[in-house]
Amino acid sequence: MIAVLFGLARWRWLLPLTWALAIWWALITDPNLIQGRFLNAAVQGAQVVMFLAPATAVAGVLAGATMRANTRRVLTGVPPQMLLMAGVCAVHTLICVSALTLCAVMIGLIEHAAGADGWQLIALAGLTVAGSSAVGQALGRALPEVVAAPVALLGSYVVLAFPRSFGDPLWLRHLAFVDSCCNSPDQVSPRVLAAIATLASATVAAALLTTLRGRRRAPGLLAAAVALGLAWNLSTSLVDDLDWSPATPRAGQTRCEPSGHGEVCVWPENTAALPDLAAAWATLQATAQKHGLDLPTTVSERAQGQVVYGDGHISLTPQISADVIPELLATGALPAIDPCVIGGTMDSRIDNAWLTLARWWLTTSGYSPSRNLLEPPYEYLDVPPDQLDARLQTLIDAIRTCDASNLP
Amino acid sequence: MTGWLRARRAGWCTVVAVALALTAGLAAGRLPSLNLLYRTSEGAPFRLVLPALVSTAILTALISPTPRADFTSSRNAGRDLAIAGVLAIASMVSAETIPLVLNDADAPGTFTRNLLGFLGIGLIVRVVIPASLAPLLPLAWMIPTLTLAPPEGTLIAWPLLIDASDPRGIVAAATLLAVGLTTEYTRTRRAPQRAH
Repeated sequence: MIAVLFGLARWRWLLPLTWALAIWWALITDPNLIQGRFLNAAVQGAQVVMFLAPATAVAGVLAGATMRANTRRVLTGVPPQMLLMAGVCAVHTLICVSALTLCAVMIGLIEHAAGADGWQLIALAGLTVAGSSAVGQALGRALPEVVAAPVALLGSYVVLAFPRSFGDPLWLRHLAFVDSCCNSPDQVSPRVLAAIATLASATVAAALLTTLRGRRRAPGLLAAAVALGLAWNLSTSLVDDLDWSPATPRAGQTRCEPSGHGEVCVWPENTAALPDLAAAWATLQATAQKHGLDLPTTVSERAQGQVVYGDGHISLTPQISADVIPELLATGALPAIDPCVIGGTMDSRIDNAWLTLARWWLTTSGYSPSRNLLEPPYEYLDVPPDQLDARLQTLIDAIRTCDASNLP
Repeated sequence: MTGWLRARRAGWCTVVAVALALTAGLAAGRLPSLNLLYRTSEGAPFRLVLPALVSTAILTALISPTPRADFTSSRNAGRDLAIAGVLAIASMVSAETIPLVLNDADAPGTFTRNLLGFLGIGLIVRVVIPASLAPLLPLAWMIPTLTLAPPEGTLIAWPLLIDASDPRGIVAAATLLAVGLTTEYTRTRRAPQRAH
């Protein structure tokens, strides 16, 4: 039976084709999109489904046409068509999930991606392929092969590619697969995953129900239509208020390392930078405490929604060099100037105060500020040591309260 | 002759090919599509995409229900290419004259270039894959072209070149057609046991 199913599924050409597509896609994927996170590798890897689904749909048509021809030739001893169709679907899914996994793992290895999230996207892409296979088989059973094959090839591509190009309605793009996610503080919304799973499962079920014959044909077709209708309504209600990117605040724990009197916390994909971060943060903290600066003792990467700039929030990329780490930490821990922007403008004295503070903190701690930290047009902190701490506190208070009246 | 044409679904294929060609002649605008590498959704003009479907219809008319018998028949030589030629000319005339009559020619000549190129692809692959699957190749070529190629086209993505006089498009389509015709001519002279 297994050999029959694999034969019907055309595994001899489908397996090499899907693996070749997966390897090719892994090699041409834009590495800048991965950011060292396996979830992003899975998002990019799962996009190869745009090529796997049409190929699987054509294989499904050939399987469906063969099943129809065999049913006519052999009227007895043929296994139930629904069982055969589900078996071929399973073989196609197995083949494509292996290709999708290969693609995601290759991208992950090439880009040194870390983490274990993202496998659900591979599973969903597998479900999408199962839908293509089932619809292809249904078409192959219902139409002549020369008509069904182009329709299945084009249809499966259209369903995946076209909704993603529409700006209105925006939710339509979330019903096929995920192509634009996720930044460091984000993860894929579970609602998108549920919507795609619902629609793909209903498509498979509806296609299987079309195989019913005789007295069960009409109820089968009715059940297929109802399943599709319900799934469509449920899926659209799940995603209809989502934005362009189907992202939600990231769950899961950061990895932390003690540093001075506080700690440094980063997402798992940035763990390699923790020793450098902890060493630099300990040095910066020592300077801040020596001068009695009231600044956060913990710096951390945070999930979307928990980000408060100037409250010790930092954002890393795996490619970060050790040279920029002190400045990243200092600018993350200083009070933010964003709240002082009112009506699109900000008192330039606040900006200068922030720059003065940042440059002083870095240079006093033994680090060199980058060219991004412009030199302020005065030497406000060029004073005797007994006046320095008071002036530092004046700068911090001015930034926190957005009150520049005490600043030069 | 009538039976020979009917067996190849020539009537249906003609209707579909000419209808699609007329649509290409009348259709303005672009077919939106997601480009995964260039992150755009602008797609390509209908006149550049529809030749893939037209060539699929034409190549479908070349599928013989009795391929082995055809190889032993002395009367069949050149008939496949003749029917492909007639359908291609009918499609090209339909698609190219309407914009001229309506005086709103959008990318003139590109339909003809793409159709001939796609037919070449279909004729080439008839040697290596079952003839019933050969009509899928123009569509299969168009999918990665729309999904991955630069929207303005390249030598490899020649169907997207908007200017029909672009030498890259002419060279690519002419080469594919020439190789396709040569392959088909050679194929029909092979031994019967090599037929699909």
